[in-house]
Amino acid sequence: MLQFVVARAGWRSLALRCAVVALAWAAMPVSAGDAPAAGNRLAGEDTDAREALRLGERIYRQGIGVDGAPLRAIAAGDVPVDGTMFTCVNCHRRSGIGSLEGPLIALPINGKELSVPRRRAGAWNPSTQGQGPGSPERWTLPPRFQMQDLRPPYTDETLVRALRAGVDPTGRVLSRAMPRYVLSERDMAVLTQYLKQLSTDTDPGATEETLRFATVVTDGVSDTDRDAMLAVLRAHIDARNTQTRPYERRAKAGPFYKTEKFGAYRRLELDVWELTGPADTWREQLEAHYRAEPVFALLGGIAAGPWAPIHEFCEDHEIPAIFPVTDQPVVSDSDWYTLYYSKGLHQEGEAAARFLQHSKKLESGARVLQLFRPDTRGADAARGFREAWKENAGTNLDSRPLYADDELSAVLNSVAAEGIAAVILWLDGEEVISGLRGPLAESDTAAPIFASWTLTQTELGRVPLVARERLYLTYPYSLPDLMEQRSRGIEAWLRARQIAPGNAEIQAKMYFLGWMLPGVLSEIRSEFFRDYFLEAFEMMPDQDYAIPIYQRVSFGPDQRYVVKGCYIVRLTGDDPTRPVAVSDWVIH
Amino acid sequence: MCKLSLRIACHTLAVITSVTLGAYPGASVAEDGPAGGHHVHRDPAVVAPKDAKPAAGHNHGPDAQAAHHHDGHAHHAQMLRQQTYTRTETEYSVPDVTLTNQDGDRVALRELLTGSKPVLLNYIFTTCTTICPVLSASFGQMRRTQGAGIENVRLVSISIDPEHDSPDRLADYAQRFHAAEGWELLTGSRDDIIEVQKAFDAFRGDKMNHVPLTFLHAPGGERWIRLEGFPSADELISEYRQAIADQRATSM
Repeated sequence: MLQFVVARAGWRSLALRCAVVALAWAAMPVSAGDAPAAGNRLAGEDTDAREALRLGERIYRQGIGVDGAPLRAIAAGDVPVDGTMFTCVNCHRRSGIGSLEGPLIALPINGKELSVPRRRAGAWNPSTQGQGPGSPERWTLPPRFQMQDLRPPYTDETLVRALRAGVDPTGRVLSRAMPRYVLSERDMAVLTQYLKQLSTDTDPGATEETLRFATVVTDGVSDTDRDAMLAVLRAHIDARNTQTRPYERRAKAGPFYKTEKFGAYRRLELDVWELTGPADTWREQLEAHYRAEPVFALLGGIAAGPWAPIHEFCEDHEIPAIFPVTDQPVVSDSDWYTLYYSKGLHQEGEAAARFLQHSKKLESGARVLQLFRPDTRGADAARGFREAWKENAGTNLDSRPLYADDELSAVLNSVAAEGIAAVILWLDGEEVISGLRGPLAESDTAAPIFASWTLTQTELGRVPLVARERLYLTYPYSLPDLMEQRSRGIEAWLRARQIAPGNAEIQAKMYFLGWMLPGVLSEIRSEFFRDYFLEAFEMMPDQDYAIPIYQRVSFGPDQRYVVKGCYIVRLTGDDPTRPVAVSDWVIH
Repeated sequence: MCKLSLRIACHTLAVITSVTLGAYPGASVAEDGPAGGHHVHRDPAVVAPKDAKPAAGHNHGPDAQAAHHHDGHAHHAQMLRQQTYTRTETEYSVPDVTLTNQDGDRVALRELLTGSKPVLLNYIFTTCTTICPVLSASFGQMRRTQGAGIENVRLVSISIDPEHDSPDRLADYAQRFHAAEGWELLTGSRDDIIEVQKAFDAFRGDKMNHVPLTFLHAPGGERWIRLEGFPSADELISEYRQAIADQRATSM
């Protein structure tokens, strides 16, 4: 077993480097003999092959070798790294198509790319040379622009050498950021199999001419909300599709150096998947819709109730879902396929917990009382609060569900007022007002009361004057002045397209989705792989201009909630229904 | 060969070498600037992200490169020397801001960076794909190395994605790299973080544009050593020793 010891003196580290390379070269004659049968689609046919793919994926995505131990490697010359620090997926991404970070390029290593020569910059690399609309001459560079391929296709042997010794098939030394791996023969075999089938065939929903999306609407969503969403989404798609004729013409007859750009163009289709009945029947209906007409991804969508059934469908089928309209998302650190605006009420709970802990000095022995009703959005907020709350300095969180026949006043009366440092009410407007007028008004304590703007906003005009001093609200939007200012652009856009203003939040969310979509599609060019589509969103810079309802949204690798903040506000301004921020957008 | 063909050949040669040799370091491949004005020599089969102005309606295709010209020969020669990083010395003035570390504690940055301990500083974010994991592994390795004086160094990483990188996420990140004690990972308000990056000439508009940077500071004075690229642990240690020695020499 190679010991990774960093020597301090120069000559020893040189000897170490030589030893690593020597070991790699010595281990090189790899026989792919114990690899499972080659082929792009192995699922369902051969248990060994399925197992090999699973192990290959585990190396690629988790950095765990066939023996169950983390992979070991050297990066930056002499720095030992193991598979749990970072592995293939970090730089080359789930699609295998790679990434760009500052000046550092992680090249594509998906099957489609490894199996063909790599061309010089500026030359598109179709999977079959000479393919594409129009004359073949349009798809090849004039001779004076042609250069030699940068490298020939990888073989099993040259792939081993790249991973172990860090040289490509032409002998080029790979970047210092690329680790030199210690990989057994079995590791190499399963990884090679995995890479060969990674992002090789275009994903369903993409044809030579069209790219098909669907949007989900369930029972229980009002017609006005449904129409508000569809009108904006369709308007964006129609606007984009007006380019179809010129792009298709240019793909056939345009200049050679634009062939990829125009050839990548697809007309967009949008199906509406209506889901009827109770939520536990939605999965079956989704499967049926998908079988009837597979789509590349879901865009937008509204559900009456938690988004979970649709989230799980997408996760299981590895179908991207972009920006559904929901404040009951699935909150997960590891699920990958749904890109949400925010964590909804969960996020409001987190913000309240952080604000309370960092801004209010809680004394030792202080109790914080949290009340919520199970299976409501308030319960999501309570969960967020609990998860963000840090037990420290002797404070304790007393978190209580209110069941159907529990009455708020009774519960508040039964709780000793002594020692309560804050009361958190994740309840709807009516209940919060009744609490503010009843027991909480009568108590001596000046303990702050927290509630959610989202759950109470319609009733806030009825908050008693004296209670306004104590009331703090979680407010997950941009502040009113900014929101109003930024909304003017969208309002003008809607008017120009003769779309009646509807639910402003829904329309703003669909507007932003439509705003981002062309840039993302341009990014993925002709690589119609679902993972790559999501990765293109990940690479986008922070946005604030086109999304008036949020202060800012930001993307990032594996980040699936683009709204990072939530204000804490009070109603202490001249207008009692207009919030005044008392925190930053993001609270640490 | 006519002049135009020669220029094209030099240009494409420069592009090939910059692509093949990973565009490092000091090749000034990336022009610094606001998120909109970023030109990169890159392989458009991996065309990326953010030349991005707001995403709508803009196509960022390979055509953007056609306008770039380069002195191909000097570029090529530099690449062939296989430098792993470039080194410069500058004075930076640390802004007087308060950031938050992975334990949720408030930290006065100026005190942290200009105190009595030598400092190694870099900029990271926890979902960074390529650059930060390598830099952080190097920090971890630096810390683990035995040797007189190394254990006194203070390692500091500042998040350039402060809205996502909460103290909890920083703590998880530190665990991932088996961080021993003496490694402060900092987050804060977006404005403060941008101010700090600008003070160190490390701000590139959007986090995905960032470059691999490591800074060294020996106690006393405002002089910082700036390393751009991926120094090995050995190289970091010698740079560190050199910085301490140089500081002693100047203060004598």
